[in-house]
Amino acid sequence: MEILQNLIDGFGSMVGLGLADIAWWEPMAVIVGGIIIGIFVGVMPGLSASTGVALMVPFTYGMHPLIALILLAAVYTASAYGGCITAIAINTPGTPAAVALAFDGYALTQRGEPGRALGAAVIANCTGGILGTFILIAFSVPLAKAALAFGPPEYFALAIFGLTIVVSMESKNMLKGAVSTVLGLLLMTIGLDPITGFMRYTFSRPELIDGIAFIPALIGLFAVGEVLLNIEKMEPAQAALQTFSSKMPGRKEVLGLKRSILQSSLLGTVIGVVPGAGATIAAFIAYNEARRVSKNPDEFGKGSLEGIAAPAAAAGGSVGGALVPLLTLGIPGSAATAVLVGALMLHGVTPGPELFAGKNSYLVYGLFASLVLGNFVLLMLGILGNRLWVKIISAPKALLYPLILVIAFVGSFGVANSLFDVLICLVFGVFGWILRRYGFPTAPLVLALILGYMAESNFRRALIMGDGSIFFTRPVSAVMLVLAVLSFSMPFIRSRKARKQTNC
Amino acid sequence: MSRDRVGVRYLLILLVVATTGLPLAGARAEYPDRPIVVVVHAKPGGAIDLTARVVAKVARNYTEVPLVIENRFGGSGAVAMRAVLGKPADGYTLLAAPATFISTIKITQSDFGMDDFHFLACLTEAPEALITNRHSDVVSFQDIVDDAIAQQGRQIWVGPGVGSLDHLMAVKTWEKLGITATWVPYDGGGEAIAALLGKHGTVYVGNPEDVKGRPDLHIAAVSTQERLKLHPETPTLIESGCDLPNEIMWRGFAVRKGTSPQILAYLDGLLGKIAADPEWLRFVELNSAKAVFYQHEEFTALVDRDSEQSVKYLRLARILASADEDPAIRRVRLLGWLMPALTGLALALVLGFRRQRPTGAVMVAGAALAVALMFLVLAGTFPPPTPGQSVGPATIPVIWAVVLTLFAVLQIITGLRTQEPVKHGRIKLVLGIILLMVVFVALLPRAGFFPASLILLLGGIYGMGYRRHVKAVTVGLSMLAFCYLVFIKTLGLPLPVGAWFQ
Repeated sequence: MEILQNLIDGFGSMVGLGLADIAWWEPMAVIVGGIIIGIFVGVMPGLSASTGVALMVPFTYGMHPLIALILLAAVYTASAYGGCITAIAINTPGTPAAVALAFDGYALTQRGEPGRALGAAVIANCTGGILGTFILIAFSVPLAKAALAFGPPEYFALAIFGLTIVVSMESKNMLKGAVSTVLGLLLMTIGLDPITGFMRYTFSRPELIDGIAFIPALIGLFAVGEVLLNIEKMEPAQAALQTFSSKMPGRKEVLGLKRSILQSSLLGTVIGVVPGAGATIAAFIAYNEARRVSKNPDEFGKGSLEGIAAPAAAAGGSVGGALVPLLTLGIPGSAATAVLVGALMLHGVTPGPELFAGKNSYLVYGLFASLVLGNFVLLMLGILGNRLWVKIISAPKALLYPLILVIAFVGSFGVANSLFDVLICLVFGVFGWILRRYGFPTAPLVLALILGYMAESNFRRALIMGDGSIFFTRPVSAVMLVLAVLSFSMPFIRSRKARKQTNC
Repeated sequence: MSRDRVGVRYLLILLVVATTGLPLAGARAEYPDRPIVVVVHAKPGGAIDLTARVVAKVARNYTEVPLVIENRFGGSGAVAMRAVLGKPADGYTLLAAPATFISTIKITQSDFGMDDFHFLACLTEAPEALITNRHSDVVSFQDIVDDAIAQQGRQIWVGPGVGSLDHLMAVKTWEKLGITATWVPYDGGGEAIAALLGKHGTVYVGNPEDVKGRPDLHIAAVSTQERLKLHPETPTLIESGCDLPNEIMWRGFAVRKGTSPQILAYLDGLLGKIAADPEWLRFVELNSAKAVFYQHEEFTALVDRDSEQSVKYLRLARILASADEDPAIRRVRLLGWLMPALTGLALALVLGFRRQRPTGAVMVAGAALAVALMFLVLAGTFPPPTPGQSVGPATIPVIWAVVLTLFAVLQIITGLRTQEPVKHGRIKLVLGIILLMVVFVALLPRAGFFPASLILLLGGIYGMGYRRHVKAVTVGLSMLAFCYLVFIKTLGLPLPVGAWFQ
């Protein structure tokens, strides 16, 4: 009951009740502003949630701590959705977590129905965000304890489990998918060895010491590669403009997604709790699981609304999840929450378990309230924004494509203010075009780039801690590795069954 | 007609907006007459980034020109240091320098050193501390020592990074105590603390500020001369019989060596005023660090002391190998470089023998094979695993390279046997756009962002056959105006101005 009372106070503080030094309109105005900034941050490739939050920190210096906190949380919440918009509209994930959304979202856009995809994404994302917040409020302490059980062997098992998703993503041409995946894993070994500090394959370039910059490579593979692929297919006559519909999905369609949204929100929140695993892996796993339990798994990859809702809901849920270790242990659960820690410190607030009890507890409940409200604001702005995005992609392609290229290069530069990253973006763009031209999928390559480092560094750490048996004697790691084997072999078994049935 | 005239007027407005952003190269007045850039090696939001941002904010009270933060991360700081050394020594580029840069230079085998910088002043310091988990069996300093002896080198110490200040602190402690233990590096302090809380490690090496707000953590000992005021119950390492009285993580500012004395004097004065500013002191206190002001001589002595020690302990940690290289390794490296050519030759022979034209899929698989073989051979130049451990730097690359070789060969065989439909697309247009992008990337550092982008935008729009001139130019210039207002003005992105115009 005390929690309930605290929550009611938290919502009260959103209209300035109980706080003498903020005006009644301030919290809501800050939420709306933060959501708009967050959507923009998510839309721009290269500006990730953490960069967006960090760029806002200097603006919060003079603010009341609660206002500063809800502004940053709103930016964080909305950037998860912003990344979905470009993934759907132009096959350019604005954030890494949105990669899993591009498969089905962009397929729908190509069919002329971006409105349905965007609508499903924003509804799923906000539902995930709200559910994630409630999980955060109710179960943060046990969840945080469970997250601590994640040591190197478990992270390794999680990475391997994530990699097995490639198999179900790429059932058309397994061999080409395998070449893409392992090429990505091999490229990820470039840079300082995570354990000994030895420089591998850096060819004396200081820019390669940390390995290939992931975001510029991602922008290249998707944005630049997609533009090149489309230019190749472009009709010489510009008259044939494709028409896009901003029609939202119907009520029945949305209700049909409830299972996939619920399941993915939960997955997103729980995986988001594990520090360092984050929204990206959550989105991929949610996509895979939604497909596994779906009644129409063959629709996936061709414009399935479930395939859009699942990663969007997971990305939304992961925001609440990432706040769990921050609030209960004082450990950031993601890059963006790491910035939140710094910002809170600037305001003299130390994140951690003591926050719930001390005089600053109103901050925690205010934050909870602002997350719930923020998701409603995001839902409304997202639905309103649909028309705008659809209008932008309806522009003549000859105008749109050069703009995408410039944005892609600026975004790549902005990640680390490095001209080398612009070059990486260009090289991976041409590379992505060639790969896709000859039927090699690029999504497994991206997944490998995301998971390769996590797999290796934790494999190595685990083997310092013990011998090879460590992966199987620890229950969580053992279970996940078994799941990985199942997830890997499932599509093979299923296709074999299907073959048998047709033979009968 | 009238629509076009409106368009032209709009164009003119945009042109004005776009050009006012270009910096005017004029006569140089007294230093400083333009913004001073502070290069930070961490991502926005990191501890040193926040420190630099607060310094920049406080500096506004004492200087006419703003201090602008530029994040140049990568290579654990090597990229940031190189960025400062690449600029003239005119006092307009400062480096936010943390203690870890000493190790970075050594590990990355950089062609520059700490003595290429002039160290202005050190502003904060925090002592190194050994931190344990209150809920584990090893809590006090004596527990650590007893457990380490019982575990015979299997005791696990965690912390951020390999060769980092915290790693070296661990190695120093082991040496002074005559114990052995194992270092497991994590990607950041937060992850390492999570590992300690989850009991995946026994000791975490960090700073006293790490226990703030985390009641499960316990400081076992701290490397100071006297006990800390905030933690009076925490023993120092010297009390505990470990002779490490002054291991500190410092943060300061430096410029490129060769900066004129007048400019150095100005910056010294500025940093001195900042170091005494109440807002600055409040910020440092909130972060549980200690505000200090070590000027040039004292700071340089500190850097020199740490540099001298770092080589010894990096060797002890087996991070720095001996300098001289085995000639056999050089031969393996040469072979590695030749692998792509050899792979291409082999593929050409197979194709010629079968009298077949290469298909796209075969070429892609061939390229993947070339990369795999090159990485495989080059892995032969990597050092072996640390004694007592089963895997080393080469293990994982070798596994992936072998698997990729296998898949690529399979794909080549499949590709040679199957016919591929020939695609008819506007391949010339694609190649044209790629050329345009190459021109853009080449022009970016030379002509600067705006001219290069204009060429890419207009070249792309016209290349794709669009012919409504006013609209094309309007869209191009609007985009530049958007970039200027959003990326440069609002987000402070240092998009290149171009060497030709500087």
